[in-house]
This record gives sequence, C-alpha cells and structure tokens, in this order.
Amino acid sequence: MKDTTQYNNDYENKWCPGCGNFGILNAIKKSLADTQIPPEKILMVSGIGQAAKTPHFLHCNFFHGLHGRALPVATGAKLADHDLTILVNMGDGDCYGEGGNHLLAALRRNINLTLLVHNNMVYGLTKGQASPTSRHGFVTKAQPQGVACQASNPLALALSQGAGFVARGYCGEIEHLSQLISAGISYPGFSLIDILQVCVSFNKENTYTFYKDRVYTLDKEEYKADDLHQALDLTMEWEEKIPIGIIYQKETRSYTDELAPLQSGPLFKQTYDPKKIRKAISDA
Amino acid sequence: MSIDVTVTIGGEAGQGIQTVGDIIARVCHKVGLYLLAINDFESRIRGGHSFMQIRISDQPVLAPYHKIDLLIALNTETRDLHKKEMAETGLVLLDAEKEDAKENLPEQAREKNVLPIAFSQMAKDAGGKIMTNTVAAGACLALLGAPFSAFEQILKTTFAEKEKILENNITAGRSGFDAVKNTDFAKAFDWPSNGSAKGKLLSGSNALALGALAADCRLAAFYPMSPATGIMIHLAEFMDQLPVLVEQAEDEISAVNMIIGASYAGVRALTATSGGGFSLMAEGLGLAGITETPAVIINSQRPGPATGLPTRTGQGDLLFVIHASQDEFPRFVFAPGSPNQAYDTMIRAFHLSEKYQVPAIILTDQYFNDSLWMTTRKMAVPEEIERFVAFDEDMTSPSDYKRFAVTASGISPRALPCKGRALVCATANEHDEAGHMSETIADRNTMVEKRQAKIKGMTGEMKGPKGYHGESESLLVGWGSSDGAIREAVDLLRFDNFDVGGLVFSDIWPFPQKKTKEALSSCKRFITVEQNASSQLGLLIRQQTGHSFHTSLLQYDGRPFTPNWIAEHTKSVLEEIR
Ligand SMILES: Cc1ncc(C[n+]2csc(CCOP(=O)(O)OP(=O)(O)O)c2C)c(N)n1
Ligand code: SF4
Repeated sequence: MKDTTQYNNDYENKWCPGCGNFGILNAIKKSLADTQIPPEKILMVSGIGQAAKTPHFLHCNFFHGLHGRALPVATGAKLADHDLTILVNMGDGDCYGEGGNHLLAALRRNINLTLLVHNNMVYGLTKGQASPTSRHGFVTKAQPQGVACQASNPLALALSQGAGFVARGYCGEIEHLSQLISAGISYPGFSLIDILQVCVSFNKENTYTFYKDRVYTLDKEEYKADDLHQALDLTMEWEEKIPIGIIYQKETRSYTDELAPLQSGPLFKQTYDPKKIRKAISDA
Repeated sequence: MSIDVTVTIGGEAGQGIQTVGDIIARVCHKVGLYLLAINDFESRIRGGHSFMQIRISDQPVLAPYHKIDLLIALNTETRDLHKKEMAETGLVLLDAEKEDAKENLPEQAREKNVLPIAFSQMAKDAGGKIMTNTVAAGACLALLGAPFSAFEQILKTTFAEKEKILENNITAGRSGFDAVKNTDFAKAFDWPSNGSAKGKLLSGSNALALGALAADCRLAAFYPMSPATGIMIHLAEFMDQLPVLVEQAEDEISAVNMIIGASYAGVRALTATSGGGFSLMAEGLGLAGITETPAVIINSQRPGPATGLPTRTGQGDLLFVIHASQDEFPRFVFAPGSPNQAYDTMIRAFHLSEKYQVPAIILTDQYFNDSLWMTTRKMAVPEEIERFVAFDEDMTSPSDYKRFAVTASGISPRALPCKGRALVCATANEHDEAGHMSETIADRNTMVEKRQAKIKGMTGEMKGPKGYHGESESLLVGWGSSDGAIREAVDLLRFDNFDVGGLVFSDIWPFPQKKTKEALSSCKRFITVEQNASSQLGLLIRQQTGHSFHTSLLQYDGRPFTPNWIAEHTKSVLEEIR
C-alpha cells in the first residue's frame, strides 16, 4: 500500500466520533496515494457543511467556499488552468439543495471535476433538518410531522442529464470507495460519486446497521455499467437492496477540450502578448 | 459656423432603427465629425417605440441634446411622441405610407415642418420593404449635406458579403437621397471633404470590453442581463485570437463564484451584470473579500428595484455596491464617465484588485453602455502586466507558506495552488494565517485588522473628483456617466454669466476624503446632480467630509440627463438665492 500519511495534517478534526465522514476521508487519502498525486498537486474545493470541511483535514491546496457554490468555484479554477486535478467535496444539502442549479449545469458542462457528495440524508452542521435526500416521512425538529416532499434521486437525475460517470459509494467500504474515487479522478469528464454517509448524531434511520443489511457491491465482471437503462433501473433500488459501485460510465471528451481558447494550453500558461491585443483593439 | 445637429430616428422595434442610426453615425464619424448616439428602446423585440438620437458636431459632444433638428419617423407614433422636442426650425421626415395623420397636424407644421416621403414604397421598389431604413438613412444624409459617395462607402462595408443585397441597398439609399435633394433644411452644413476620423466610434460596452482585454482578463463569466450583456458579447468576439474565454454561467451566483475560482487559480477574471444580478452576487463579493481573492465586477445600472426598467438608465446602486455583502471588508468602487476613462478604469481595476487582493466594482449604466461615443485619446496597451503573485523561488521556505500571513500593509504574499510546493488554503470561514478555519478571538481580530489595514494604501490610489471650473462659487457635483452632461451644463450656465463649475467623481471607494475636502474648500455651495431619488453621492460626501450639499437635482425617469435640463434647474436654484 502506498503512503497515505503524506496527506495528514495536524489540524484538529471536530467531527463527531463515529461520523461516516472519517471513512470518506480515509478513502480519499487512499485514492490519492494510489493515484500517486502528491499533496501540492491536488486542489480540493468545497461548499459549507460538515462534509465541506473535509479539505481542512487533508494536507493539500484547498478552497472552502460558500454553501452550495463549490462547483462554480471549481469550474472557474479548472477553466483557468485545466492541468489542475480538482476534487469537490459537498454535503447532500449543499450539493442537491442549495447548489442544485450548479449541479445541473455541471452535469451538462461535463467539465473534468470529481464530485464527492457526502450523502447523510440530513443537514449535519445546522443540527438535523431534512435534506433533499431525506426519506418522505422523515421526522426532524423542523419537520415534526415528517418530511412531506419526495426524496430526490440524485443518481437518476444525473443520468437523465447525460452524465458520463455516475457512481455510488459507502463510507463503510473504504477500499471500494477509494477505487471509485480513483476511477472518478481518471475519468476525463465530470464524475459524480454519491457517498452513503452515516450521521450518528442526527440521522437515526440511515445507520451503519441500515446499510449493512442492504448495501451490495456491483460485480465488475457481471455488471458492465455501459447500459443507460439498466443503470437507471439500478438507481431505483433502495428499500431492500442498495447497489454500490460504478453505476454508469461512458466514453467522453472533456469540456475544456471543446473550448477554442484553451487549445493552445491552459489559460494560465498562455502568454500575454501586447502586440496581439494592440491589433485587436485597433481593429475594433 | 459651428455644427451642432441632432437627428432622431424612431419607429418600432424590428424596423431597423439601429441600423439607420449606425450608418449615419459611421458616415459622420468617417469624415471627422464628432458625435454621440443614444439608444432608447423598450424591453421588447418587436413593436413599441424605440429611437436612436444622434448629436453631430464639429466639436466634441459630451451629452445628448434636448431638441431635435431632424426627425426621421418610420411611423406616425414617432412623430407624435417627439413633437414637443422639435427645434423651431426642425424638420420631420415621415414615411408617406404611414402618413394618415398628416392632415391632423397644425396648419403651420404641415406646411413647414413635415415632409412625407415614400420610404417604404421606395424600399419595395428597390427590392424589399426591409430596406426602408436604408432609404431613410439616404434621405437623412442628403439633408445634412453629405455626398452620396460617403454614404455608399459605408454601405459597402455594412453589406460587404452579399453583392445583390449591397446593390439593392445602394439603389434604396439613392432613392432616399434623391427624394430630398431639393429640400431646404436649416441645419444643413458644409460637409467636410477629405476629413479623417477623430478617434474611435465605440459603445460604452465596447470600451469596457477592450479595457478588460488590455488588462489581460482571461476569463469572463456572466449570466445575460441588460444592459451588461453587450460587454460580454464584445469580449466573446476575441476568443479566436486572444487567450480569453467567455463562459455563460447558469446564474449570477455561479458567474461570480467562477471568477473567484479562476482568480484563485491565477488568471485575471471578470463578470458583468446589472443591479438584479449584482444582488445575487452579494454573497460572492463577500467570499472574494474574506478569501482576499482579486475579482472585477461590472455593475451596469438600470433603474430598479427588482426588474425595474430593464432597458433604461439610472444611478441608483451607489450606496448598495459600497455596502453590499455582510460585515466589512475593503473593496474598490469606480464609476468612469467617458469611454476613454472606462478603458483606463478597467486596466486600473484589474491592477488594483490584484495588488490589494480585494474585489473591484465598476459602476456604469445603460446610457453609458448602449450609447455610441467617440474616444478622443488613443487606447494604450500596457507593455507588461505586473502580477502580484509569489512562487516557490520567492519564498525562503515554501513548505511554511501561509496564505494570510500578517503584514503591515495587510497584503500577504499570494501564491497560486498547484504551482509549487507552497500549499494555498483559503476559506469563507474566518481563519488563521494558514487559511484554516479558526474561531479564536485572536485570529478573528487579527484577520479583521489585517483586511482593514489595506484601506490606507487603497485610499492613496484613489483619484479625487475632477474639477471643471472648479474654483467657481457654485459647483455641480456628480459621478460616472453624467460627467459630460454636467460639463456642458456648466458651459451653458457660464455663457449666461452664472459662476458655476462642475466636480465629477470617477473614483468613489475607498472615498477620497482629503481630495474631496480640498475640491470643495473654496466653493460657496455645491449642488448634487444624480440619477437617483435621494442623492446618494451627496449623502456619502456628507458622511465622509461633513460638507452638505445645498440642494440636489435628481432625475430618476430612466432617461439620460441633458445639459439643458441641468442648466435650467440650476438657474432656478441660484435665482432663488439671489
Ligand atoms: C447561504 C447559506 N445558507 C445557509 C447556511 C447554513 N448552513 C450551513 S451548512 C448547511 C447544511 C449542511 O448540510 P449538508 O450540506 O447536508 O452537509 P452536512 O453538514 O450534513 O455534511 C446549512 C444550511 C449557510 N452557511 N449559507
Ligand atoms: S453531525 Fe453528523 S455529519 Fe456532522 S460530524 Fe456529527 S455525525 Fe458527522
């Protein structure tokens, strides 16, 4: 196994003991070690929430921005310098609630980012309100009568928007999750990895036991992940059994490969040429 | 005799008003005349009433005129709506087909001032009704005294691609031209022969876009909103020749966050919007503030609140942009008053935003963005762009790099992520010097003080208000795009022996307190001239200097100032005092 300690820092972690985020953090470190990306070559971008604090607990570059807005920041950074390897960490409220429109746009844009959504089906940082993925009927202090909305199905949503890499991981399957993250990093377009994350403090339904009884790994030999309809069917499985793995993957071309001004290299690296600008201005 | 003619072309949206206007403007520009063309249109694609007003002169013109010398009415509504603005000797050219109401005109007007011309019929004869605007342009230019060759030349560049279309347009233009050949027009002038253009003819939007290019802006993210969209459209024209990318974001929230991401990653980035979009960007502005990320944001004002008057002009966002976003952090606010100044301001805004690692906001408005202006100075491109970034080589120990290291100036060395061994950590949370979240009292105080410390240096960069006969007893004080109207109003007032000068702000925040006090020290009174309902600049001056305005001339109808309006109102104010 590669050395994961290079991604450790001594910044104090304030997650609750037993939080599913620890498993995700370990999986990220493992994946980074496996893909051999040194700390100084990684950029983590996140929103706001418990999940979005993840970058602080890693030794790497990071931009911990606004609630819901990690994807636009990451998109801007990637457009500025498409050589960067960018991982985005968001919570389910952060990504599917506050940032919903940005997710829709990112899926369509197919820019090469790896999005990890820590999906605990509740708002952790603000102490337990319902999130877009909370079950219909889920009771919280803010929804004492139970959530009246349908739970959103982010994986089906992503597929319907033409996403090219859609996966689900589980915080209790670290090795498996780290492989998903590595696959997402090497995928040349936008990759969404929805991660089932236990929140021990505010979600008493979707517990380690709940997942232990349901989660199963898609068999790489049997399941080919290239059939959209089959993938859509899989995203509907929940009550009895919950599949994890790469649900869907198709060949793709990155957004930055499509944009003419980026063909001579990353915007950041191109040179300032006053002569060309002078000409452009005098022709205008 | 000096030339000062105002031509208005009006009709429905979809009738090609802007094309006629552009052609006339370009013919005049080419021979070395000065001009200013304003665009007035409703928020609709077809129908309604829209017009373009072109003021043409052999002297620089700085503002629209309040009287019309020549009105080209492509429909009767245009004639009726502008009747009151006609100059004594003015002439109306009315499309004969639409001329049902000619009989209703006052006797004298029918005889003297209204000339029905079969614009649409001539266009049909030349090959299609669509060329009505070309016929109208021909008639207008003939009345002004232009030779047909000058007109023909511009038609050739306008319709360069298609031979048949060009041919038809020349025929159409010719028939309009010939139709008025023998008409007397009071404001016809000796057309300059062999003149050459006295500068560039540009819209305000275009000047802003060119300034961004010269500032080495590489990413421009936006969400369409009038009147800011034009800036982005102009920038997009350069995507095939320069390293600049224009990205249409899913909304303004995304646009501002994108430019913050791009800037964090090391390129200069811009967004442009109007007040409604700026409202959505307020949180992102704060993000740039706390993460100390350079960001340039243009707010092209239109009257509001909310959607307001989408295609009209106003200056109602000054206090908003100065205070937008919660808590406090330093920012720059600029309000250029001319296309040359707008161009220079873009270069300065990018430079200063990067130097101080703070957001810079540029306030313009619909009048400024959508008008065609003449630039009177050359637009210089910097030989080099000074970048305020630190790489590993600039550090004694890159592994100990701290993004928010405390310094006396408040400015920390800014490294870029993934460009060396130094790790660049930034957060929207309050943080320590390394960029990690921190809630300690010491870190909070240190960071607030560090950010605020920049204000001293920033204030030093600000230019004071520009005086025009600034030693006068009474000063008209304004900001941004009203610069020209204020200066012309001052000329009118001085001509009538009023001791009046002007003072116009282009650099607004951090407020140039000392320079403002100096500029106001010798006047007896000052009167603010603004396009909002509360005199926002006046309030700011009072807050920052203790000086109070005598009264304010405020206009918030969504239309640009005319010098005459300002002068007349100033006179009544001053006559009251006497
Ligand atoms: C604009 C804005 N609205 C609300 C908040 C408050 N807020 C912080 S985190 C959060 C939700 C967090 O839930 P989730 O994204 O699911 O992440 P978790 O904490 O569960 O990991 C909210 C509403 C905020 N910071 N900013
Ligand atoms: S509240 Fe939930 S998500 Fe947040 S740290 Fe605790 S267990 Fe984890």
